[in-house]
Amino acid sequence: MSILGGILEELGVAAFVRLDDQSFKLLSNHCLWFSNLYNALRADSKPASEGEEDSLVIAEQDFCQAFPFIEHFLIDAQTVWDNPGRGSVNSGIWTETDLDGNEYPLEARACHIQSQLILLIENHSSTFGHQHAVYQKARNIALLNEKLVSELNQRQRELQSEIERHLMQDATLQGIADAVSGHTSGVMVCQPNGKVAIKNKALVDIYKVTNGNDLRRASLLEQWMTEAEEQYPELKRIIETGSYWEGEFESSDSSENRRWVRLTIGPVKDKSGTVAYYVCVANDITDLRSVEGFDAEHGAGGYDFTTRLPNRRHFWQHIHSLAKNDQPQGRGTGLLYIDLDYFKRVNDDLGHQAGDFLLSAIASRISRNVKHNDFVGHLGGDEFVVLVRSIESDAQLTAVASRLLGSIHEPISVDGQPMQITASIGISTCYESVIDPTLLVRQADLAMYAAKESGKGQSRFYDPSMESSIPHNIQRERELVDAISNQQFVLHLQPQVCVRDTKQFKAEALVRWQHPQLGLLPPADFIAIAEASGLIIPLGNWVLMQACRIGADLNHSGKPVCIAVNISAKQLKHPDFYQTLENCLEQTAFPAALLEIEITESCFLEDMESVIRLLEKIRLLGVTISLDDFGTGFSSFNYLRQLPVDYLKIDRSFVKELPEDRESRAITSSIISLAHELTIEVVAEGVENSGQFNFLCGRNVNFIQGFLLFKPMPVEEFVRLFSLIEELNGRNKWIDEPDFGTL
Amino acid sequence: MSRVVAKKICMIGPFAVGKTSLVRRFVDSIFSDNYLTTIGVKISKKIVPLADTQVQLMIWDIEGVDVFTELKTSYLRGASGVLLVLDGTRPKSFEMAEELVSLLREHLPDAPVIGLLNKSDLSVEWKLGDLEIAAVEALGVQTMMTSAKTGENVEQAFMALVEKMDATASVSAS
Repeated sequence: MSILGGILEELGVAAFVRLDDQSFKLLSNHCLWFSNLYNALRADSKPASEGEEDSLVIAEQDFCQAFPFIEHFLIDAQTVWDNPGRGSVNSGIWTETDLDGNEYPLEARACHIQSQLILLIENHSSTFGHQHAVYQKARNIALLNEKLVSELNQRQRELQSEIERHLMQDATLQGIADAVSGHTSGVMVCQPNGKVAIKNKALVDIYKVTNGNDLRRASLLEQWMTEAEEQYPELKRIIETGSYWEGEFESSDSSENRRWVRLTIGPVKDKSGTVAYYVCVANDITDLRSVEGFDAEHGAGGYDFTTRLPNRRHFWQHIHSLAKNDQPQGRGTGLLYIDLDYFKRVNDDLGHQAGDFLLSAIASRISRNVKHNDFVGHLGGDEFVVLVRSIESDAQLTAVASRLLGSIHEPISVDGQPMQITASIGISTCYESVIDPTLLVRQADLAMYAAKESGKGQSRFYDPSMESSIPHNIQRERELVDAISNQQFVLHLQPQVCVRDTKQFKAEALVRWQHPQLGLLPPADFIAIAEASGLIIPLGNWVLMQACRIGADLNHSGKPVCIAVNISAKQLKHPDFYQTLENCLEQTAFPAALLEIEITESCFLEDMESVIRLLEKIRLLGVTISLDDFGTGFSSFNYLRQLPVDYLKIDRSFVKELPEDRESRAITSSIISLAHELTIEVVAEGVENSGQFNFLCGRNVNFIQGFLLFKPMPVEEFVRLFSLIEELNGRNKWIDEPDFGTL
Repeated sequence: MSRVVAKKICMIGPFAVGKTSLVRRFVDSIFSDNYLTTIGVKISKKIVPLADTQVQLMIWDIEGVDVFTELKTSYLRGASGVLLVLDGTRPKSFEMAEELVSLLREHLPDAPVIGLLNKSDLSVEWKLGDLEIAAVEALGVQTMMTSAKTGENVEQAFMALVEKMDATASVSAS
């Protein structure tokens, strides 16, 4: 054996020279491990031939038959052999097993040495055991870590829910404090102003507070919001609007040491719907993250599981990397923050699977409607972002937003249910040379929230005035509480005129807020806040009682008018609703047959069966049911057949387009015709011109409501109008000359 | 005598989902509860019948993906089909499915992929719900629940892939 052969044998390397005929010549035939393995793997065919100087020469075909992995590697090897400047290429480890079951961890390398094409096969058997043991241990730990993280997350959510439930059941703070005192998760219950009501030892330990009785912080809640803002710029908005949040971020203890914290924050509201406490559960996950090999900027798995779009982490990594470079002069960056409207309804009504299908479809629509270089991300839930680079003006973003809103709103079939969904888009821009990612995202988030507040289904650019809009809503919510106590509301009535039978004359009761400073406010200014805060229940009950009182007074004075009252989904599903309704009718002596309740399709989301049972029970009282806003969202004639409704109101968005828009004409005609087939009468609302009126009359709509005929009016005015209508009826004028404009 | 054709298939997935166990169950009809991590690649062979043809499967059992190890996409070259293995007891493993399928679509756009939701024998620890399964299938991946331990659906999964590969090859040929 030559010295070189001895060295190669010692190193466990089989070295070959690639010959012109594509065969391989083993540089030392004393490479016993290779000869044995090769002959074992080639046991079914001819042994290797001997070449010059007693060296093994193996034809490529035989080599590849014995080592299929090498056949694969030769493609990479050839690119190196064909290009001497490319250095070498390594195959990575693969394992072969001989006839006795012995495993050989091997690795191949292709390179040039002195113009010769060289193939090296290295046998790692002597060192592989150690390497394998390290990998084995690392992966065992990673497995254990995964299990721990999964369990920790589950327990943290359970603890959070348990504390919230106890608070809502009026458990004493002391009782809750005692229950969580020894818990391994950090717990803090605080008021919205940050004042701590409960904290446990684990929380004190995380923050290394020396004095266990005092966290020495004005507001840990505020600190968390500041610390998490970098990754979750929407956190502040979520918390201030009283929603649940969970996430992971870096936090500083009292010695300014950075720790990774997994935090859940949930609001607990009092009976008036105001946030009374925030329940916060925190776990120090620094060690878990280090085992995971996690890195906030470069973590693994940068794509959302459902939509296949870059996820939140990926997005932040991307935007931070962009921020490292200056923007070209005169060019800017725009961020569109997209939030789907009423997405929760889809999840609740059709299930998470359908929800995920919808998310995927929307993700695909968003991706199709932006340019190749624009970045589209799915931040989680129903929130998406589009990052547009190198813009010259805001107009470009307006065009993108318009395309996205149109595309998202296109009809989609989910589980056989046709539906249309809208989105709210917030837009922020930066034309400075350096982008501040956190600011850009926070401003887009605020603009998105403003778009939602303005009625959804639209886009809004960030405006500094939006900075104060959230506190404004909180202020408005507090004022609403007082308004309900002080009964600062009034009802106006808007007539619904029967087209064919003037004896049927109805009116819709519409609430107005007599604000002490701002004057008379329309529902658009406060109903959404009342819905979000839960104040819609006391407000809705007041409206119902007041409408019954007005109706009873009219009836008592010989003016029997059917009064329609809007009932929100929350109000209808409240366990006391039926009792409240009975009480209103009883206390006011208003005939049930003159009361109509207007509900929307959202009432049938979640538990449709029990809502149907409730409505059937209500109808037995004599109350009629009207389905409001029909034609939007989840409208489906399939389920309309099952619903106990007497009237159906065509949504004003269709009426608005009449008679010019062909699609609206077709939809309106179909709704009227099919409703009549189901013996349901149809009310058209929002009728504002004679073209709409004539079209609807031509389609035999039953009732017309709108500014063309009458605006909503105070009760006294309505009484005067009623008398006038009675007088006209006496003259039989309407049937012959439906000219309501003169009234 | 029927002809023999060789086909390469790849087993890919996160680490410790049971790729090697599935191969051992399929090729050698054996199973061990001990987790022995794979480093690199191991190629196993098995001949299976398909109509009048014998298919020699070259099964590439590729090291699982974790935060330290990415899927070496060059290993996918020339594969006629892929078994994407996930662990039904580990949510973390489902999260990686999308990324792996993206890589497959990029490097093997025409190869059929079957998702194996492995460890179905561990019913108590099973965490893969309809939602997660639907999400995997939404990636265009047919799924099958398997257990290397009991052998449930193992043979069927490999054969389903072989049939899909055959159907894909027929379409390509026509």
